[in-house]
Amino acid sequence: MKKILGVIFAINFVILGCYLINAVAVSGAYSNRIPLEISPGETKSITFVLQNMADESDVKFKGLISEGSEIVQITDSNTEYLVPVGSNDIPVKLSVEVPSSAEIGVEYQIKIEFEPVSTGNEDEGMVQIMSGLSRYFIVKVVEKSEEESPMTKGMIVYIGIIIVLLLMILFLIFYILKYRIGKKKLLRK
Amino acid sequence: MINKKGVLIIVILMISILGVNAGFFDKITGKALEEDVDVSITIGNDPPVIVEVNPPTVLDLSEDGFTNIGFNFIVYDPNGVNDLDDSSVVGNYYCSDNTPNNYDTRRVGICRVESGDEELDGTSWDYAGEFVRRYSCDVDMYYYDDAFPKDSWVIEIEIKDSGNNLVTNNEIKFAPNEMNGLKVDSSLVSWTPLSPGSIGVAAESPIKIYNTGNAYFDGSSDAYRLKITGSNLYGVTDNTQYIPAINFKINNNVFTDCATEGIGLQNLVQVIMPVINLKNGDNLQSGHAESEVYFCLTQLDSGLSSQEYSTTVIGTGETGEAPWKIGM
Repeated sequence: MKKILGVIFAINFVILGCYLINAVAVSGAYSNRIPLEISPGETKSITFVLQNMADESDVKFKGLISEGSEIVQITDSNTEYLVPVGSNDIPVKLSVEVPSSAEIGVEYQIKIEFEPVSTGNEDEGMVQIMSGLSRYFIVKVVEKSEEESPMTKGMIVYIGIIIVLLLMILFLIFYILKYRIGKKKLLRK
Repeated sequence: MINKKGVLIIVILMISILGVNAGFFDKITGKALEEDVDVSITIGNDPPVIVEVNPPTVLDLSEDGFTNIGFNFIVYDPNGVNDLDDSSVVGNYYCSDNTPNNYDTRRVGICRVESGDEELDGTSWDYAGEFVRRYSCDVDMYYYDDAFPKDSWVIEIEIKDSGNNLVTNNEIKFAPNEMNGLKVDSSLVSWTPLSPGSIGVAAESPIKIYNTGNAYFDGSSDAYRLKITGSNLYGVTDNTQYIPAINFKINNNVFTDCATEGIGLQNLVQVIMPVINLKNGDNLQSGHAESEVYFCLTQLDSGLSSQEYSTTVIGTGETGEAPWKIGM
């Protein structure tokens, strides 16, 4: 009976021990729904932001790339991020580099994991439950875009006009010369 | 004679082209012909023109709250900036496509003249100061405001002048960044009394999770599913005994049969709940942006000794404490 009660208390304690509230967030421009587009051989720097606005204590994460590490790296020298309570601006900097041999249309699945790290301030309990985060995003290889400057269209139009005018001038000269030669021939006759 | 006609046609064509493109050759001038004209002057008020809209540059929302995602715009009034009715300025956002949700998406801004009009003098606008005014608008956006579809938020601008001429602009679109936010409230979980050898006992109450971001966790891919990493619970006094993580199961519904339902946890391995529907939305409203995770203990070995079991105990062969991790 004692043994049974012991286990009863143990299990009850286990569950009642995890009464904490965890709240964390990660924000950024790219996701699986909004991919990062990049051309072969190109390198881009992007930033995600860690937040801790709804928790009651500081949290710490260890960042790691668990998928897509062949093209994505965390560029911060320290990949442990302390996110104080009330902060919404802890940056995580990444570098994305696609090989120049990458085929157009290929998509890379990237997964960044933010593993919770103990800060020593966690609530006591038999089961500790910590909030972790992961962020997925897709890197899509696209053709290099050549952005047309606003002047380009206008320049093309004017260059076209100048060419037409030059051609007309040439034709004009041609007609004048032809007219004069013809006139001279008539005079000789 | 044919040649003369050709020359004449070419000359006419050239003059036509030059005429059409007179803007390019501004130096073409000529004395105006004198003629009598009837002159009538209508004294009116030309409407202002919204010449530039600068969408917000900071697009990160704030977890479980709201934050100012402001923008600014520039208005040209041919009658001078004093003709603009500053009190009439409207600068709002609205979501043109929030298919997953159905909340009111109009975000009303508060706009003001950004600074002295002379600030623009000689930079963007040659005529700044007298005819151009920049307005900036503070617009609070909420943590659940959709990031997808891309460019689904419309910047809505209105301004009037003293003549009550109204001009509007709603051509510029943007979207805030996607934010994965999660709040876990595990205070309500409890079990009925257990004894060694117990089989299939569901927890009385689930863990509540709240979406504190704007990502829609619809279970469409691993990116939008709940992930849980379990670990063994080792004995506090005898760490050779433990309750294995695989004896726990999770589910997104109430367990009716622990043996067949749910997904088993694994020791230090992340498992993914394939089905979850955790929309973004106002999680203060009951039933919005919240979901539940139910636990079940599949069995409690009959050989377990009477002691406390905890994740804070480092088990034999383990390298450190291993809290359970729950996340998106």
